[in-house]
Amino acid sequence: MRKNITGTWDPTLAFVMGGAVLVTLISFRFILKQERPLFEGQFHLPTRSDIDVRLLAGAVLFGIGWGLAGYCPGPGIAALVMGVWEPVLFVMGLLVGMWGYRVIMVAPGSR
Amino acid sequence: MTIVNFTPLTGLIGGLLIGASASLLLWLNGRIAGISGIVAGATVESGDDRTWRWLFLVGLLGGAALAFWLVPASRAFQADMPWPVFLVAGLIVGFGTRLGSGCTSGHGVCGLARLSPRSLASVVTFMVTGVLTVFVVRHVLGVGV
Repeated sequence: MRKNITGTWDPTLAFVMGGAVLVTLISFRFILKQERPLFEGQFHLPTRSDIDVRLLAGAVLFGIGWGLAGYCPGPGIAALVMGVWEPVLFVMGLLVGMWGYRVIMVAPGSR
Repeated sequence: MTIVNFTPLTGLIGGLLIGASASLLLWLNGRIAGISGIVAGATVESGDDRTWRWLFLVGLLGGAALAFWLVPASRAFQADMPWPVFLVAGLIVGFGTRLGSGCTSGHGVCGLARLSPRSLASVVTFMVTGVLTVFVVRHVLGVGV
């Protein structure tokens, strides 16, 4: 997703997010009423509901990086096929950042 | 404030397709379409179910290639930042999305639909931080204007 809130501002992003959530808000109601997904034995869903410092600190970092490059992970990866260098650099950074998180923040026993 | 590149119809269609994709993955495979989690699980994490993640990523790249081919206007891209910014931004997004357990897709598209309080807190936080970052970088620092 590109965003560019400057003197210029492209509100398309709100339509992308709005359209996507419109679909999932409705479809998830029906899907999650099923006993299990079609091709697997069970749903794999997050179970936590507590709002902790890690969640918020991670969201702050993500917001900063997103604002800097104009890419979040999905469109950053999709843009790899565009044939320009910027998404390649972004995804390289993304992978190193994820690897760094494991090395720094995840105890070796639980990797 | 001038409005540029405003393409609400293609934006809405793109959004509906993203919603359909997340719905299919949940309905068929019981998985949350969170891109940062899928990427981490396919690469740096030592999980035992990498296959579906790689298949999803291959599909993501294929779909993007198809979109750029069918709708050339969707290739619109302005590299208005110095190139190291993209590398650093990627680093921060990679670390941050693992620390915060998700990004726009997992917390945004899927988490909001599950009415998850964690996802709502995350979405509000990264939206506000993202807007502030764009404002500071472009207006205060004057980079990429």
